[in-house]
Amino acid sequence: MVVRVKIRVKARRSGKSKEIIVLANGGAESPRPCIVVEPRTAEELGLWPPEEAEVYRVEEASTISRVFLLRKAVTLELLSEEGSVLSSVEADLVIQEGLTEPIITDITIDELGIQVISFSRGLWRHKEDKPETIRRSPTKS
Amino acid sequence: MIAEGKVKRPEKRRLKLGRWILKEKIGVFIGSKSEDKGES
Repeated sequence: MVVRVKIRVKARRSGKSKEIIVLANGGAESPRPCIVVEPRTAEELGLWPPEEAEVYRVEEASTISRVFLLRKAVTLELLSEEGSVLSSVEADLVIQEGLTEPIITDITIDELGIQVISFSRGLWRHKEDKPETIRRSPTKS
Repeated sequence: MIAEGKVKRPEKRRLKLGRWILKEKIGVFIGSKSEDKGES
């Protein structure tokens, strides 16, 4: 088990939005908040194929990849189980071909206020929650 | 040297490695639509 959260991704340019379940990956590092998705999700947001994008090198555990980055292209809203917005952040959209699951990175997890209680049981709380609040990871769709 | 031998798969559990680091910018992608507009 890992910690996953439900995020509403709102494309700032197209106005389109999509709710997705993402992996809160503390092992993923980026200098600014970002969400990493596969091209199909970016297409549904009206952001793929891009007219222009920055190309970055990504180092993974056992390989090097190339990704496309659209700077400050989306707003991320962290959703509760009931669908209310807990927090939001302006973020870069990173598009990676062959990605098996959307991820958010270390700084994105922090800025959304996600505090992991247990990685192995998929438990977390939001920084504004009461200390006794425990949230469970949504089931991956 | 390449290791020789067989890989046994005793269970179906997937192994995912979570390390992912956004490193340096290596270029700019210009889409074909932009080129059509003469923006390349």
